[in-house]
Amino acid sequence: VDRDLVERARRGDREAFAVLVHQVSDTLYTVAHRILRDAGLAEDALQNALVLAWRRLPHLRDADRFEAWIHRILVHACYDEVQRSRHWSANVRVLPVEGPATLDETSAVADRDELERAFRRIPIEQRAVFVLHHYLGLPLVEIAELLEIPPGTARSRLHYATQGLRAALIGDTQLELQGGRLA
Amino acid sequence: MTDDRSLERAARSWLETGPTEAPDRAVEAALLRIQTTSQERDWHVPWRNRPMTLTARLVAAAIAIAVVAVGGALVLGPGTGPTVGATASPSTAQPASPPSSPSQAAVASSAPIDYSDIGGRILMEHLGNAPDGSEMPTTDYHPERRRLYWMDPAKMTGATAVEFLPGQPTGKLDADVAKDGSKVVFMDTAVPAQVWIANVDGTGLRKLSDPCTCSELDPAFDPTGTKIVFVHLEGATRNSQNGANLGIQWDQASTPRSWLAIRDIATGNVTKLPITTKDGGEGVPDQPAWSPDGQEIVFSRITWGEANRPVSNLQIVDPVAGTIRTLPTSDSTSGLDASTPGDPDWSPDGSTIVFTNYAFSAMGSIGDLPGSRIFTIGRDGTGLRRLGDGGTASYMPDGRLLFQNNYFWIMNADGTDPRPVKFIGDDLTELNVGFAYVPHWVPNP
Repeated sequence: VDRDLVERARRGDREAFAVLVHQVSDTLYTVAHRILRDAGLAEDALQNALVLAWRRLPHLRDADRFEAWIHRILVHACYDEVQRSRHWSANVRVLPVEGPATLDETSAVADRDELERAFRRIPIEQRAVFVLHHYLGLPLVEIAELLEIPPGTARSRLHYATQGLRAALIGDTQLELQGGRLA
Repeated sequence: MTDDRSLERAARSWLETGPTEAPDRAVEAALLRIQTTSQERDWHVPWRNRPMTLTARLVAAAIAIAVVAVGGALVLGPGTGPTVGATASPSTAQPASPPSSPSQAAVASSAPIDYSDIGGRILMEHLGNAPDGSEMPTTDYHPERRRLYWMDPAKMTGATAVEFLPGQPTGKLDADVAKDGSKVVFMDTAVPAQVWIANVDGTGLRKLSDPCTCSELDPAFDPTGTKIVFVHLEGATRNSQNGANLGIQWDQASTPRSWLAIRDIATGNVTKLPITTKDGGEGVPDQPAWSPDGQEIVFSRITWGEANRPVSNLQIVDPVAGTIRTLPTSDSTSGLDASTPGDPDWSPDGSTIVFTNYAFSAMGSIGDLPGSRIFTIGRDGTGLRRLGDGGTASYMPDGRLLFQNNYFWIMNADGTDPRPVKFIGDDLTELNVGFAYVPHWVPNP
């Protein structure tokens, strides 16, 4: 991100901010989508984050920190989306419409579906750390700095996210064994 | 996949899937909002940077408390305080300010509704485990776990829901209530599916469908309560009967055909609407609803896009004239897009149609669905609006909207003043309870 653009946008230059928006919006949207698992909510989070970033940009002290700063705003926008519109959690596989899939495809779809269901069950704060770490590849210290939380909290959120995913996956497997597929 | 390393590997690979670009409409909408948004001023107040000693902080806090206390005593003299327990009824409350973004509408108010002047109850379509918690929780589906329940808005919890016509037939869905609140019509989950009718008191249950190898789906009353419109599907079955997906299944040897038809309840005579006929797996009609003047029927028609993703459009058929027209449910100017419109319903005056961006009544919370949104559009196809978040919306007799968004809500026709039907009610989307909830307002007889 061009530091000069950030400085100009800080001083109220909307055109400069629009250029910045086009530079960062893809990354922001993909992160929001991975955290929220919902295209509509991710769009809303992106919109709200960009507008909030514009409003608060004069408070940004270090232009070099723009990307981390706007990611923090985005993650909080994701929290807000979940808070005000807890989407109905999806947890049932979508059956193929045109005939059965091959065994490998079925297995891959089942794994993705299991992860999807499991991920939606863990708290949003843990999801955010999980995505920032495993999708953006940020180290925990950087995530802690970005989210303005202690490093230990970032570490524990990642730990609990992983444990939560595993527990949810085991829980689903046990449910299937106990109750069988009902559909 | 349950040791940490393989789990993380699988999760990383899974996270890589999904969109990689922001939708242009979202970026453009944000930039549009920014054009009219001012930046906050960055105040530099030197004294704020000066560290205060603990003593100074305590003194400042004591002074602030004293000022507030004295000021409060002066301002709030006897007789000027608020009346405890006073609540505005929805009918007298001032409309809420428009939400700053459309999807904020559903959280604008949290005050419960005063039911004393509403005069009715809710018939709830439910897919999942028994709402009273009496069944073993499962996160999967079962056709017979599609049931209808009565819920009294004044004490609306899963424990107080009363099942309508328990066990006969076992699975029930896609219900509609006659305008006078006297009768309920619904379809069962048998294969092929058939249509039933009963009085709201549970008497008079009978099957309306004739013996047929076809399915009869999604019945809806006409304004007089003497006829129903329904979906006729032959050569195939619809998956949403058991909550699988919006698709249909058929053996490749036969050709599915579908159309809308009208049945006279008294005589059983059926009139096919030929203009609604479609051959093959594309374009099966879904969820018809009759206009209050009885002149037209709105329905959604599901087709299939890339990767077998459902898409649909909203159509209106005039049964007498034999004409059909499609309503535009996306608008490039405003950026509104309900690409898979479903669950349409008419406003009591017939001027407006409410719908959602997906057929959530059939699917509830299944698979990778879009976020649920409620839209309205004029009968003439103009004035597309997004009211807020939620699904399975339907009009009440007074013109307000009843819908589901984690639990049931009622809001004004323009999307303002959404209020939960019960403030501390069940979160209906808890996984151990159910997946699909469709509320129907039933006026007291």
